[in-house]
Amino acid sequence: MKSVIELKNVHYSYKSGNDESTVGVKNIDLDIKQGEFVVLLGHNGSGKSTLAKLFNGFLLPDVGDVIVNGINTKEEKRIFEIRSKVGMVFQNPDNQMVASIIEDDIAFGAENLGIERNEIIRRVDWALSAVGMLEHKKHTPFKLSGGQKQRIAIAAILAMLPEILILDESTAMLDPKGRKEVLEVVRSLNGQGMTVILITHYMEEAVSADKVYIMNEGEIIDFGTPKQVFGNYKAIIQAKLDMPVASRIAHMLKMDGYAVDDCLTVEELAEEICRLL
Amino acid sequence: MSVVIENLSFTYMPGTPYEKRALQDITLSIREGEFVGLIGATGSGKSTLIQHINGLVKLQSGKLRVFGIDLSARKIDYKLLRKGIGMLFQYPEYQLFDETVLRDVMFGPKNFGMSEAHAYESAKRAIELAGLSFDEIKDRSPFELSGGQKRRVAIAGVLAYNPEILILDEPTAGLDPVGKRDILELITKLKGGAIKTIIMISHNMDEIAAYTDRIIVLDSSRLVYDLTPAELFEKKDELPALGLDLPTTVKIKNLLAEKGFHITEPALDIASLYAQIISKLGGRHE
Repeated sequence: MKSVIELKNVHYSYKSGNDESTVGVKNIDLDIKQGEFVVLLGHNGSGKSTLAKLFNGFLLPDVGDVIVNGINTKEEKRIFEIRSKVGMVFQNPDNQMVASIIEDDIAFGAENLGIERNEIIRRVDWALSAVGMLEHKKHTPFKLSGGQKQRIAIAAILAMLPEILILDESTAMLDPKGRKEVLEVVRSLNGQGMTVILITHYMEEAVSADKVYIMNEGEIIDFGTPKQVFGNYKAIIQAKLDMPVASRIAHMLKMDGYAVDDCLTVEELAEEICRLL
Repeated sequence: MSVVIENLSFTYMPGTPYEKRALQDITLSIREGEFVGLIGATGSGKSTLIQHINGLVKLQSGKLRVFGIDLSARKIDYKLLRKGIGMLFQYPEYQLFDETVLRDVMFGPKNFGMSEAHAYESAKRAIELAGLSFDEIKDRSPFELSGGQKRRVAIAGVLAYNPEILILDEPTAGLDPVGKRDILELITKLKGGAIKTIIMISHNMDEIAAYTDRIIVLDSSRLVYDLTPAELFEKKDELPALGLDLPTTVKIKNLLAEKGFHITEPALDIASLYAQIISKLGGRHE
C-alpha cells in the first residue's frame, strides 16, 4: 500500500515572546497508508490537533519532515497542492459555514481551487449525495441540526476532491444521533477508498479503526490495532484516557483471575462472560 | 419543593406562520436535595423548560413556582430568582471574559450587589470548591488555562453567588475522559454540600444513569417519563424510539440476559454490573 502521510522524527514547538516555547509534538514517526481509517486519541493538550495541522502544512516542523503524497510540506510552492489533497473538518459546524444557501457553501472551496463551473455543479451534487443531504441543496444551512450541519461541512470538503479526510473532534458538539450520522458518512467514504484520520475523545469511535495512535505530552506513546491498543492498559492510563466499557470489564475479569480475551464491543464481552459459566 | 410545574405549555411565535409548540402540558416537581437528569432528543423541549425555570421566557399558560417565587405573578423579583439559580450553559468556558480568574468569578456576586470584600471572599471559596488552588490561579488569565480548568472557573463563577439550584447543560461535552470524570465528581461533591438541588441535561446515558436520582424524559414537547434511573432503563424497547440510547452497562446486562446469564439488580454503573457478574461467576479467582 502506498504511504499518503509520512512523518520522520518530527518536532514542533509553539513560540511565544522572549524565547520561550511550548512543545507541541516531538519524536513523531508515523506512516499512514492509502485507504486506512486511523484514529488519534489523547487528552486535551496532548498534541493531536498540532499533529493534524502538520499533516496539511498549516504548521511546518522545526525538525524532521512531513511528506504528503510524496510532497514535502516544506516545499512552499506546492503547499496548495497538498492542501487540496488533505481536507479538514473541525469541531464547531457553525464556524465552518460560509454561505447562506447550502449549494453555495459546498461550492466555495472548489471555486477557490479555480475549478470550472460545470464541474463544480457536478461536484456539489455528488458531494451532497455522498453525505445524504442532496434534498437540502437549495435550503439554508442555519436551520439544520448539528449532525446535518457537520455533514454539510464534510460535503464542502469533499467537493474539493481530497484524498485524505481529517476530522478534528468533529463529533464533539453533536448529540448521539448526530454523531452516528457523521460516523456513518465517514465510514462509507472510507469504504470507497478515502483515507480517514479521526481525532476524538470517544473511545467507542476508535473501536472500528484500522490503526489507533495514542498521544501523550506531544509524543506517540502507543499504536496498533484497537485490540492491541486497548489491551495495553498501562499506556491508556498514562495517557489519561479510558478504555471502552467492554474492554474495561474484560480487563477487570482478567485481573480477578478469569481467562478472558480482550474485548472491544459489548457483544464480544457478553460472549466471553457466557463462555466462563 | 424547589420547583413546581403544573400544566405548563409554551409556543414560540404564536399566531405566526412560524408558530412552534415547544412544551405541552408539563407537570412535575423537583424536591430540594434531588439530582435530576433531563434528557430527550435535540428539539424535544429541554432548553425551553430550563429557560422557564430561570425566568428567561415569559410564562404563557400553566403554573410555575421556583423556590416559592410564583412565575405567573404580575410582578416577579427576577433578581431574587436568578440569584437562586446557577445556570451553566453548554461550553461555559466561552462565557469567561475578564482579565483574571478572580475578577471573572467575582463578577456574579458583585452583580447581585455584594460588596467588593464580600465578593472576594465568595470568589475565593467558590474557586476552592471548584477544585482549583486559589493562590495559583487567581491572577492568571482565564484564556490561558486548560479546557478542564476553564470549565471549573466557569462553575466557580456560578457557585460564587451561592445559588440554591444548579442547572447544568451538557457539563462534560468536549472534555477528555479524565476531564469528564473530574467534573462529574466535582458535581457530586457539590451536591452533598454547597448546592442543594441539581438539574443536569446530558446526551450521555452512562453519565445520567450513574449519577442522577431521577430522570425526566421529554419527547416532542411532552413529558413522557419521570422515573428513577433503574425504572427508566428497563424500557429497552421504548427508549430507542425516542432517539435515546441505553447506558453501556445496561446494554451488557441485556445481552447477557439474552444468552441466559441473568443479572437481577439494576446495572447503572460499571461497579454494580461487575459486582453482579463476579458473584454469579462464583467470586474472584486467586
